[in-house]
Amino acid sequence: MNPPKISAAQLAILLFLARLMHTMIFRVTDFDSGTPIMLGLAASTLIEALLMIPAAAYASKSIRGEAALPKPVRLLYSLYFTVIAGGTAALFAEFLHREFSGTVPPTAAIILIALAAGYCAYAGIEGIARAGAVVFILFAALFLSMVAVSEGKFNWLNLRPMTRDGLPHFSKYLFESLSSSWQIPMLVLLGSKLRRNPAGAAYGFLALKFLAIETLLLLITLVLWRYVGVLGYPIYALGAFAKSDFIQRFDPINMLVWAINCTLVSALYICISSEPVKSRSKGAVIFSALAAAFALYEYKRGLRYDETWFLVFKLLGVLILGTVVPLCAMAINKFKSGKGALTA
Amino acid sequence: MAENDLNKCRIPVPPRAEAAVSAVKKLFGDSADLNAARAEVSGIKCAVLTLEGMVSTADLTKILFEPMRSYNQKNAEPADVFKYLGGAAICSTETAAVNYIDEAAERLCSGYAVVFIHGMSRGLAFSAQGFKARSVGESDSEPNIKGTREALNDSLRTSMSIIRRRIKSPRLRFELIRAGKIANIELCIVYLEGKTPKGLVDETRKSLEKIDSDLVLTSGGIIPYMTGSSGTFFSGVSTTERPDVLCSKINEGRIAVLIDGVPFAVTAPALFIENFQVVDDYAERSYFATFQRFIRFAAFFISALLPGLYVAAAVFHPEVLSRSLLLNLIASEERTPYPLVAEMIIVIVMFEILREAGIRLPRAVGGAVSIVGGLVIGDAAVSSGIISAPLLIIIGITATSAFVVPGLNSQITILRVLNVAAGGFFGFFGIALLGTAALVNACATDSYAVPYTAPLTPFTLRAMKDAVLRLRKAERGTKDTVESLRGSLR
Amino acid sequence: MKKAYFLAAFFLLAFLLSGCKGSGEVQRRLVVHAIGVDPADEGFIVSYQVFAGRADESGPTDADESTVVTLLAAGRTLGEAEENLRLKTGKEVFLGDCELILISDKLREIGLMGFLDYLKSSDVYSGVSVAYCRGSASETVSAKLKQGSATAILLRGVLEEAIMCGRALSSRVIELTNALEFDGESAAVPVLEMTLGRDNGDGSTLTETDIGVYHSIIMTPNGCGPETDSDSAAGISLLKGSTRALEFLVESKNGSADIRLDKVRSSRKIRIENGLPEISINISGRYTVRASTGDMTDDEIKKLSEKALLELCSSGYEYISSGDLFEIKKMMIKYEGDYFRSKKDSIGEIIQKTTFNVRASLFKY
Repeated sequence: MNPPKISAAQLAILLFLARLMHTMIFRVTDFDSGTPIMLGLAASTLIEALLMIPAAAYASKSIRGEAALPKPVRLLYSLYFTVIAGGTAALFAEFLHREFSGTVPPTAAIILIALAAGYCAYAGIEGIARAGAVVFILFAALFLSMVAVSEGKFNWLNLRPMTRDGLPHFSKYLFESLSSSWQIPMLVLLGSKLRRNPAGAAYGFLALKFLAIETLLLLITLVLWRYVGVLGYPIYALGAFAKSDFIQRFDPINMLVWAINCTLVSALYICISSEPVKSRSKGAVIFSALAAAFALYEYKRGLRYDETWFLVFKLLGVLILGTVVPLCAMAINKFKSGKGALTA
Repeated sequence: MAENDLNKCRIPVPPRAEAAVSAVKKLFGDSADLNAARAEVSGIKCAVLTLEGMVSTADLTKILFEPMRSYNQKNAEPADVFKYLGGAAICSTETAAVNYIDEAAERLCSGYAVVFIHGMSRGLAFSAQGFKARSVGESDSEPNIKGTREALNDSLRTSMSIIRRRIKSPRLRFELIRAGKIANIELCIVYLEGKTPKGLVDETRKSLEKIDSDLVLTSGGIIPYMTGSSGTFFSGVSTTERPDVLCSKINEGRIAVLIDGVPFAVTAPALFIENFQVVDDYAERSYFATFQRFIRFAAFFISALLPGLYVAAAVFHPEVLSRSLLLNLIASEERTPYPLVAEMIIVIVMFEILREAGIRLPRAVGGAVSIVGGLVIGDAAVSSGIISAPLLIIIGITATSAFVVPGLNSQITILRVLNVAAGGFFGFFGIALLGTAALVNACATDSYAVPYTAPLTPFTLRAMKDAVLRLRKAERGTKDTVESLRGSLR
Repeated sequence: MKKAYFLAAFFLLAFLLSGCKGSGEVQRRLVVHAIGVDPADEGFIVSYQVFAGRADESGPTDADESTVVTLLAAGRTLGEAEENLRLKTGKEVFLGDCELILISDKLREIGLMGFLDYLKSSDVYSGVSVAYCRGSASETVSAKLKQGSATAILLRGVLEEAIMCGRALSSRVIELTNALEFDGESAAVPVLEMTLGRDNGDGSTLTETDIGVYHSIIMTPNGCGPETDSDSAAGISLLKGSTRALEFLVESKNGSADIRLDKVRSSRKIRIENGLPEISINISGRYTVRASTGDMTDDEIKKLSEKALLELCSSGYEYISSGDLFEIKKMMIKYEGDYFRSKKDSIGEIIQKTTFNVRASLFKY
């Protein structure tokens, strides 16, 4: 049996979809101005580029088979991504409940997402990576069609310069954006599944993320302005002002594509979480059940996107699992190999 | 181990011709179609065994009986007769010595005549196949306009000759193996030396050698052994009865397996994209062929998704529908007694019943079924208010679209029903989950280490000239092989 | 097999949790095409133009005079009226297809905020237009007009044409919310007016009714401002830089010409002059003479057209005191941030002292 391998482009797209999913469930109630958020995203991308260095280096070693995490540490990663999967499902269920209350109850939505994601995780990383490219195309098509039939007009007066008043928004978004960059620990884990070029995947993802989300934010600022706060979900809001004779409203189409992405991204989290379990089917069942349980608990408890513990947990995960652990692992490996050479 | 057991129970050919005949008869349980003719060749008793209808009597007379009668040697020994018959005197395409009774039985089943010579503990088998086979006809399941009118045949040898006529190259290989514990059917692996990876040939051979079923009566008898993994919704192998399609696939470095008695060849690896390619594409102008491919893609999505999307939009997301469509739908649904989901499922089931009846019934009656179906569904159901007119239009479009991509018919049918259920109960959300699961399943399917969804994903730009598009370049130069697709681990 | 049982159990669980079905059948929805709001003793009387057609064999169904009816429901709030309509009809009220919200001008004094709050929380499309109507909204929504019943499509068409011709400003829910609620600006909301048919020449009066947009009401975040005629609305639109096309008549002693202006572009720049904001506007566009009498030269028509534009602008400028109609605050925040911060407390008064320097240059098509 050939070992499963994915390409750098596929990985970059997967990481991008994970980030985009997170942006989708980012809920705003007070959209003061797009500029601090856009600058916050730019600053966060720069910091992420630095934090990516150890992860990319570790991924390189993984490709060559020179790095492997000890099982307890690996389980920490699994736990982290199970929580992220649960959080994603819970927040998506919340979105469904708010915007499409008659469609499916949140509890059922979480169970169904876990089921579908569990199945996709069982299908393996290669299937998810290939499907990721299709979902990416779907997104692009949806985005372009929404822009094409948007009834909004660009109001360039909405694009204000950054002032001191915007600093709290800037720092808040910078913190939120950094805490949402768990694609760095994902790179650490997915390095071993990569054929080559982890740096290309990492920086390709960052470039893609920066361009796409900045464009989306710019469009939202120019077209929707503070009405975004009324709709709550910025990217979803873009479809709320699009209309055509053929498709009267784009909101449900938007939801359809987001639901696909939510399932795919949750499947990715479950897939990488379940890797320590030898049987792929058992791993998928265990971790999708865990993610569903966490999502149900958090939904009932009323998890919010900007809840402090959730943000801190995510940020700690990014720093420790994305940067500290790979650095330590590489240092230990180097020490061991140095010792081995001396002994020899 | 199994091989040794088989050797143990093998009965050597007894030196007495009559004893050998009795042994064969015993093995066949005195089967009525086993014929035994006695003759004397230069005073030596011989028995000629054949199976009724498996050999050509005329050929046998010419190649065996006439030489036997003309051989006249004084004091001839059994070994002389054996040497004579096994030598140049007999003009058979294949002559083989037979040492065991079961070996003789095997030859008889393949249309050979077996001769036992009194005094020899070996027999001789002469190829004299002459069974009646269907003549080479047109393809029913894959009709075309500008391609060949010939289809593969039930007879393996005929099919082999049909292929050989299209690839007149010594690089074309036919490799025979046997399958089926009881049937012992001949299978033929077809490939092009230098184009088909050796690993693919070895892997196919190995998987075919693993066949442990008693009979192989359809291509479905070998497909599970070739695809290996279970749980894939889409098939990693495909079938064709068109020799031109088969040759084209072989030229792309794929492998084909012919089955004796089955007019369909199984080809591997199979790609999703090939369901949208037809022979006529290459006979048309490239812009038109490309347009037709887009139509086929659209037809696939329409037939699998449209009923589900329609139900989901009508029940959960009416804001998606354009005003006039929504109003027509509401006005029509006012008259119908069933909920929209139930209505849709009823019509789909009715359509599938009619389709099945159309296939199974004799052709003359099949047409009548279509008329009755059209009348029942199209007119009576709508005018009596059981089914709404927009829904019928949706099903009409869906059904017609499904016929455009026959290779994916089974998947489309199941997806359609599941989509209606998912859309009816959970709206677009349900369709999204189902769609993702189906998409990942398709993407995770590998056929002999080639991704089923290649060259779409993983994307191979070079292959696009003959994938979604059909550019003029695709006709020129050497054809790309499947192993050159991105993501292929072969 | 065990796996299959587990999977089936999960699906069953999800299905049961879904409450079997969260949404009703499509025919159980009451599709609302337009909403008209009138005052009542306590709250509002809301007129809903709804679809009430049934399929027949005569062809496709659409919202026309034979298939729409106007239903009335009263409530202290619009939400309550909607609930009452639901109870009265036994159908789920579907607002997703609503084309127009008409509010009686008798309700101008209470402002738009309450209505916008309702619209934001309902399923109404963010891009739906809000307009006032003269007199009873109920009568407007169910009127019989010269060109047929006042269906939502027809009313929306009338409104859109007025906006297209530069005689009214766009007033969608999203635009009004951003302006009135978030930016503290003012907005000119068009008024749909029904008039009795004119004398047909033989002394009798036509009974059919005409409808058109001849005025706009300026709404401020705090309530209601003055009413403008269509010339002033066109001026406001020009000063705001939102005009794309305009039609007007120019006259001189040599004759008159009916001018159609399109591809109108406005570039606006703000600067602080003598401690107060001054906005320079350059209006350009191409004009077409649709009809003319007398023998006016091209040059004369061009000059008169440019002059007419300036006159329209000056009639729009008269409403400078009706709140921030021209996005002056936004311009100051963007281009004169320091000035804005230093004058933040008195910005309302400063806006009223803004001067405009308008230049128009047209070319013939």
